[in-house]
This record gives sequence, structure tokens and C-alpha cells, in this order.
Amino acid sequence: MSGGRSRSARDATRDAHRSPVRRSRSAVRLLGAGLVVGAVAIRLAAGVPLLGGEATLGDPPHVTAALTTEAQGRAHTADAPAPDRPGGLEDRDGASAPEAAGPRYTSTAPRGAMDHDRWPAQVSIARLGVTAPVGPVGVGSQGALVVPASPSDVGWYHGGAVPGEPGVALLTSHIDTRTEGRGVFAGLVRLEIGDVVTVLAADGTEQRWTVTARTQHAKEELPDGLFARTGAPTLALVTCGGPFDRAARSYRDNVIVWAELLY
Amino acid sequence: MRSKRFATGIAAATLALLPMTAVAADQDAEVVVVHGVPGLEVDILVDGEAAIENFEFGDVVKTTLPAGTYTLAVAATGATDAVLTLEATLTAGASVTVAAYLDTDGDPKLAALVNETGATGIQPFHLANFGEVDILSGTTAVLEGVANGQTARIDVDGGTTVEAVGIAAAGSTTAAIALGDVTVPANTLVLAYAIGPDTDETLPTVVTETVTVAAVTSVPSGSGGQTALLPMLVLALGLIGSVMLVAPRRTVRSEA
Repeated sequence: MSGGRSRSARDATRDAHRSPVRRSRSAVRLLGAGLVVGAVAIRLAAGVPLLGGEATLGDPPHVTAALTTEAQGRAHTADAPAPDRPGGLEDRDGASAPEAAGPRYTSTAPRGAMDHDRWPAQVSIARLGVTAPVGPVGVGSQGALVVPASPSDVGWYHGGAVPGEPGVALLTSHIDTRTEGRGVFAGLVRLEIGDVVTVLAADGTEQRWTVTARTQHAKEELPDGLFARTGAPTLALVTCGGPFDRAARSYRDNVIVWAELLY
Repeated sequence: MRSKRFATGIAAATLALLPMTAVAADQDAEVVVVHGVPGLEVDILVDGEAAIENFEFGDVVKTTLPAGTYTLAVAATGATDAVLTLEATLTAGASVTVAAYLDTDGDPKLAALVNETGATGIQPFHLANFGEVDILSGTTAVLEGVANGQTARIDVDGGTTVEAVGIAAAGSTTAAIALGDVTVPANTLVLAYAIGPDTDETLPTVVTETVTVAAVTSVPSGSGGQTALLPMLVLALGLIGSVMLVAPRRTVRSEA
């Protein structure tokens, strides 16, 4: 008993003997720690990596393989620029290839009639523990994709690839909305390479996709590759991220998770 | 059907097609209807009601419909018994071709195909009674391996002319159908439908229509701000925690 008292008395004495400078220094240190913890949390939640300015996880996939026909002969190249990634990939996307005599043309992969049975109907992301219905969406005014009103629903861009077709199948959902809170895609920023995304087609066919990359882009700088219509089947899950502009009720960035088809 | 949740304003009761010049509203889908089966004048029925009458081989009609799922049918003019039917889901903001055409066996088919309005270009539709084809410019294939019932978009910069466009049997550099030079206006997708039989007397023909490009330029996918609010709370807790860690020492000191 007396030991306890004496210890607290000793502590009290020690504290009392601390200079005001030391006290304020430790307070500053603690305050600083709090700020760092808060800032890290902000960056993590907003999808910004802790180091560096680019929120890119892994190598973005080859998504814009283009069927190119040279003026001479019928040589096809499957150039595959990655979506908007840092490090100057421009040299790789064929722009520096020797100029052909005539114009070069790219095209979408030939496709048949709309087949509703193959349209995506449901998406599941095991790591996030979410499953959501998927419905087709198109382009609204001023080029804005019509994202389903509820953040519990996922839209499939009808103008892109059907999941499993050549090119990019684009699924999108609100990260959150004012009335319904966080959505099924709110955790996209936590997905890692190798995570599995399951897509169920309307006819019940199951596709399994594996995450190959996660990228983040200012909203007005969506990568061209996001709308590729040739190349390996690619799945792109798109939501918002980055800082939130309260006045505009809008996030600064888009977060994109890229996945390739397992089977 | 799930799509109904996404297709607000289905307004299925009055299905009279809107004027051709109507600008598609956000809740509408654009539909280009093509008659590619020779020898039969037909009506196009939308959910059982005649929407286009006296439709003849080679006719193309561009219109809009509210987004939704429809039963589309082809019936001989004046008749109500459908010879071809199709269920099609039209997505708001989408552009779709609905075509009656001949397959490679010469049998009539009705199909909906997506107009690739994501970029400027020329989109040939192979709806003729003919095998696989290539699309040529001069003697150069600009698009290869398009089978009957298939379509693809050739990307072309707006305002440029693709010279001597032709359709050739796959692998051939001699056009079976010549379209001549095709100029693609800015922000425009030129739809080119190859239709018809391939007989000694009749060659397939090409009819065209244009639609406006509607590329996705943004994905507005968050309006709540909760996901940004959460870390603000963490920051606040961190601050409060810091203060609390400092504060008790003061208390002890005051007791001493």
C-alpha cells in the first residue's frame, strides 16, 4: 500500500519536476502521433498509397490490344498499352512503330447479336464479403456513365464488352451515397492482387476473375484502356475515391480494380 | 427480370415510336430498325402493337424507345401473326440495331445488335446471305473475319474519308460490294448494313444510317462522402486521444 502510494508520489514528484518545455514537447509528440495516425487513415481509406503519389498496385493489364492492319499486307499487331500508368509507356504502345504508307485502322472485335443470357447478373467479391445484383447501364448526358442510384446495385456498361468477350467489361457502383451510405464497392481500395471476383451471368454461368492491378485516376483522366474492345478478356470494377469535395458532392478520383479471367 | 430495376420509365402502354428527329433523353434507348429480308412487306410490332408499318426491304428507321424489355416482332403488313419475334432489353443511353435479315442458309432471322457508339467510325453489319467477309479500303483489309450476323466498329478519326470501301469474301482483296469513299463526320458512327440474298440475279446491297457517338467520359460513382468522413473521425479520435494522454498528468501534478 505504502509502496503504491510512494510510487505515485514519486511519479507526481517527477512530473512536477519536469520542465514546462519537456511537458509541452511530449504533448506535441503525442499530438503529432495522433495527426499521423489520422492522416494515414485518411490516405488508406481514400485509396492513396502511403508512399508516392500514384495509387497503382501491380501492373495494369493489357487492355487495349488493337487489331491493326498495316497498309502493306495484312499484318496484325496486338499492341497493348496499359491504362495510363506512370513511367512513360508511350514508347511501347506502337506509336513509335514505323509509319505505314496509308492510314492504320483499329477496330472492335466482331460480335454477334445481343445475348441477354450472357449479360452479367451478379457480382461477388469474397474478400469484401459482398454480393450484388448487376444490371445494364448506358451513357447519360455529357458522357457520364449512368451509375445505379443505389450503392447496393452494380451497373454493367452495356457499350463495353460482355464479361468474357475480348476487351474490358466494366462494372461500376457508387462508393457511397448521401442517403444509403457506403456501397458494395466501397472496399475496392482494399483489394489485392490475386483476390477473386466472381461474376454470374443471367443464364447462371459462373466466371471467376483474379485481380491483377488497382489503379487510381483523376476523374477527368480515365484511362483509354478502360473502354478497350479487343485484347484479353478483362474485368474493370470502377468506383470513386480520393478526397471528397463537399460542395460538389463528388470524389476527386476513380478507383479501378482490374482482373483477368481465370475460367 | 433484373433489368427492370435499372430501366425506370418503362412506359410500356403507349409504344408509338417517337419522331425520328427526337433527341434521346437519358431514359431512352436509340433503336435503328433495318429490313433485310427481301420480298416481304412487313409491320414491326413492339409488344404487339404496330410501330412501323409497310416496312420494305432496304428500309432503315431510326427512333427511340424508353428503356425497358420489349417483345419485338415482324408480321406481314396488316397481319398480327408474327413471323419473327425477339425479346430485347433496351438500356437507357444505349443504341441498338434491330434487324430482320437472312442467315447463311437464307432463313430469315430477327436480332438486336449493339451499335458501337463508344467512338467515331464505320460499323459494318454483315446481314447478307453470304459467308465470312473482310472490309476493304482499296485492296487493304481494314476489318477481317466478320461472319453473317456479326458486326464490328472500324475506328476512324472524325472528318476523314476512308477511300474505296468494299466488302469482300474473307481473304479476297477484290470487293464484292463497293461502297465508294466513305466520309465519317466528327462524333458520328456510320452504320453500314449489308443485306440481301446472294444469287445469280441479285447481289447483296448496303444501306446506311448514322448515329451520334456517345462515349463515356466520366464515371460519377460516389456522392455520399462517408468514405471520406470515416478517416476524419479517426483523425478526431487521434487528437482527442492525444489530449487525454497529456491531461491526466496535469491532474496528478495538481494533487501533489
